[in-house]
Amino acid sequence: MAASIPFRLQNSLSFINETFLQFVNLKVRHRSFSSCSKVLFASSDVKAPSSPEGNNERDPFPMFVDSRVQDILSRITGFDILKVAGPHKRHLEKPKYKLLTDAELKGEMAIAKERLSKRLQIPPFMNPRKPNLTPLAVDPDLAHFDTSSYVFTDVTFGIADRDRSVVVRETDGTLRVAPWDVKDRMNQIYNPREGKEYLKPQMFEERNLERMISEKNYVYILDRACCQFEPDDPDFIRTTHRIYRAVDEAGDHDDLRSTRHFGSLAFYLTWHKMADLLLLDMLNRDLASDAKDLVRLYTILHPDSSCAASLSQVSSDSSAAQVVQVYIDTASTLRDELQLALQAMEDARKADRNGLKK
Amino acid sequence: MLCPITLRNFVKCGSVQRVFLDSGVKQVPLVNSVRFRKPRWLPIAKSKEFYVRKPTPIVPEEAEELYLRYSKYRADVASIRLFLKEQLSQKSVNLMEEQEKDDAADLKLMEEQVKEYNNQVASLRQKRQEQEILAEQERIEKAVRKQQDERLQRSLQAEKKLEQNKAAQFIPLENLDEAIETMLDSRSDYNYAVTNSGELIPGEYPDLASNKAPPRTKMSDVS
Amino acid sequence: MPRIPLRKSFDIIKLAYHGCNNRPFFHIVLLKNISKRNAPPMEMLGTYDPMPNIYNEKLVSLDIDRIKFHLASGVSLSKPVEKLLGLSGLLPVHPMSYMTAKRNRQKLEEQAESEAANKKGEVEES
Repeated sequence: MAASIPFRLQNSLSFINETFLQFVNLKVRHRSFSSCSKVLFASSDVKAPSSPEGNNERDPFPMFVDSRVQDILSRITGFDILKVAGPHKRHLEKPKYKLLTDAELKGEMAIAKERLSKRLQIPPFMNPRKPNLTPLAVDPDLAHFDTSSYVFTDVTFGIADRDRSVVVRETDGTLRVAPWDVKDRMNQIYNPREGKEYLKPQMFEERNLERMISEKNYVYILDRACCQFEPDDPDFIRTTHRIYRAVDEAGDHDDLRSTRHFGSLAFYLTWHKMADLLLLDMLNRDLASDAKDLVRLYTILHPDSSCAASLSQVSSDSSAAQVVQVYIDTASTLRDELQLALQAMEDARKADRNGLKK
Repeated sequence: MLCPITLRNFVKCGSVQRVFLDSGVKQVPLVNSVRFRKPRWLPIAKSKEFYVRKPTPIVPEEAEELYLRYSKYRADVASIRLFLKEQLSQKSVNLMEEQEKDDAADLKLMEEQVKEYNNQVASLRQKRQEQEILAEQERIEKAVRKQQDERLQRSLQAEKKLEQNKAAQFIPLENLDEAIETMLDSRSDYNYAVTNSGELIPGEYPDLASNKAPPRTKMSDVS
Repeated sequence: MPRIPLRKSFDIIKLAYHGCNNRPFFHIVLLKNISKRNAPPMEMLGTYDPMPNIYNEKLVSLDIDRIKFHLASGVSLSKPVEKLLGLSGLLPVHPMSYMTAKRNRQKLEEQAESEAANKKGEVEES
């Protein structure tokens, strides 16, 4: 009889260590991110899997949080104050009128700009999260203890949603870390967030999403997705990538400019080496410095590409046209169009300069 | 059981309505069902008089398993409690140590700050006191000089005055007779009367009296 | 002098019923053992919803830090709370949980056997 009872104390103790100290593990994981990025930057001859298919295996997150990349992304996002502070849904308030001196007005504008720049925080670009399949404890003696499973949520004061430990006791007696969707639901139940819904809105289903895309409600969908999903949720990644592709195909890059999603769009396109249309759009809109930044972003994300190699020989303070020319020669797939657009931009600039001289 | 509603036994229950609805009656009477509860002072109900609860049946196999499991479970829980207690005490000890360390650091910092402040204040005070002492000495010197000056001036003036007085009033021997003469000549007679209206009424020597006549003030003027 | 001797009083973590008719819902609370069921608790340590949701889950929330603290300071647990904590993995699984599981399994087996017998009978009849 005694032999049939396994020794369970160790199980439970190890469980205490495993689940309720999970945030420690999370931190460890982040540390491994940073070390990974260091390795990638320290030696360019370390071969990361950089074939077009291999991009899915490479982790974009350490690249994304790199300060150089963040700088470039926030720079090319632009800051059209009318668009950022444009119409938003909110309660009607009476406008306030103030009499200000010039200096005070300047200060107020600076404060408003800082406040608005928070709206342009770029959502993180991550790989989809992996399910945690190893059970914490398997207990066949406990099978059929109940007809439904139990979900246990840690609601300790001051714990963050990402660090919250949620475990499930299945009906067959196994105890495991809750799957991500259950964890998200529990977070929404015990710590509801405004704008997030308990059930996934139907809008994100394939059929409805296509309809929304055909109506070109890009920013609305992306905002909603940011509210609804975690950035490493496969649904979030699927939805946003679909939108980015649609935007790219339709050439509506300007719709996302001066919103928080433009950086992600640029990062996505560059990461998958499809930034040609975006570059074309920039050249057509006479955004030379943005185009230069985009090419630089390309070289940072793909340090092994021929473009990066040939651009390293060009001096760093060379003009945008030169940099873009290198990109067109080495990495572009839309060579003719880009060449034409670049030429047109250059001509227009020259004409402007001549006009000024006269 | 349908009973009249009393304040004491008012119980909300939908079962009566449900019975009526199930039996196909459309209009449900408004009835509150009340479960009767025995007050403490009533004796045990007749039907329950000799009722003895049947003990829960014990399956010997289960009992044996439960016994083993329970003893194991209790030991485990006790050990976990002990473990948690140790953890907690360690944590509290760590906290206390940290607190003490923090306190010591705070105290040291405060002492340093106070020392610095004291030094600063001391240097300032010394400077100020030196200045004050200097000023005081100067003031005293000035005052002494002034006093001496004044004293000198006074003595000089006194001497001068004395000289002048000497020059005016001193009667040398040669002039003695003359001075006597003039003194004798300048006699005056105060032996006179004054009337109500202020008129002088001279006495024996009217000529002399006129020399020293008092101012003519009438009594009426005075009053 | 009181006629009834005073009951021993100690702190206990137990369930407090906070549902309504036909909708049970429990708070996991710290109370004195002699206090009323829904007395204002000394501390609320979680909730337990015994009705399965559409995903067939029963939701339990636990303030793990505080529960650990109370366990360390020797607070006793009521039986349902012991069972819940056992299932959550914070404590070893309660023996009665094993027993109910065993009984349920036996019942299921018997059911399956009887069904199989019925089927056999039907097949033989036909």
